[in-house]
Amino acid sequence: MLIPFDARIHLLSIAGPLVMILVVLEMVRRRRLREDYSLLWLGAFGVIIVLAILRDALLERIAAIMGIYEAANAMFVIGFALLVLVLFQFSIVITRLARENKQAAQHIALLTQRIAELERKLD
Amino acid sequence: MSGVLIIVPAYNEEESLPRVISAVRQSVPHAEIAVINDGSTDATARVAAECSVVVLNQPYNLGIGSTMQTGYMYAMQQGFSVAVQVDGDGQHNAEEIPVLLEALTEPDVDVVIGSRFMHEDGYRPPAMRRLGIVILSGILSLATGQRITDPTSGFRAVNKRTIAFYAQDYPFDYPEPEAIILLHRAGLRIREVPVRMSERLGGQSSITPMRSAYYMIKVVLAILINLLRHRPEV
Repeated sequence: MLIPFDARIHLLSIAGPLVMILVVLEMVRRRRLREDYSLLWLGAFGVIIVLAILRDALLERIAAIMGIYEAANAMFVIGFALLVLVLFQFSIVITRLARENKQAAQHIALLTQRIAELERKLD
Repeated sequence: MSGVLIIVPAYNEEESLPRVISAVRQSVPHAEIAVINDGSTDATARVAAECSVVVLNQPYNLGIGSTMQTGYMYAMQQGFSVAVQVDGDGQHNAEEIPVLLEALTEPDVDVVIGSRFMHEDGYRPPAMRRLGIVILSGILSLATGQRITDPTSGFRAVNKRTIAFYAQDYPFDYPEPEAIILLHRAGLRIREVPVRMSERLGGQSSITPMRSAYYMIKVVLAILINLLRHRPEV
């Protein structure tokens, strides 16, 4: 192995999120993902990259503050929290979509009846 | 137009719908009937249209709450002064609609609920269901400061103010108990009157033990959350 064991996870935790950021940006570029929904993802991966790069200066300190011995475990906890945040945003968005969807269906029902009624009056 | 609209929500009720409609016509001939078809997969839409009532077809299944609300939106749009909700499965006795309408004319009443539990020899549900109803009626009676005997009854008549309120704000599923809290918070006044209900005429009951448990948890949460909200405007 050319790369020392310790450096591998370091590289991975920078390269992984970096690839994901590129994927998210590409999806936004192709209009498969809206800018506003991409922000939380970019933020989450950005935070992970920053923590990975500044492992000694930042991550180790955060881990100590959180009472976690291994810096890698602190990374897991933080990554998990960020994911929870994104999922929570999904629930909120789904709630809004469901309400708008309901209102649209109700208006379709009302308008279809109204059209039928108007056609009946015309005949 | 001002008059009485009978709102009949229907999901796959092709069997019972014609009987429900003719029973309603017999007991309240002056009323207009609107069937709200909640995306039925059977012939509900055609059967309703053949009965020459107003039919509102929702393009897909939205659930009972949203379906009722569509009825109230129609009632408001057409300017009806009274709306009565009558289930499409035949559980509500059409002969008792005049009882609800009569009670609605009394002063200080915005909503009349037909209660199964006010007759001495009234309906006795199975033990588990009775427990659920006792819990809900306890919570609602406490929250509203008035005795609510039948929180899950969907047999209700409302006046114009309430129609406008419901068109704005109506719970999306398992709506009956939650609607009572909404009404109370909006300052609308509720009156219960004794009615009798029958077994369903056809179709499938939607009640299973898992759903009942979910029902109780969801409804109790919804009631408590509603108490924490700002009072709605009427």
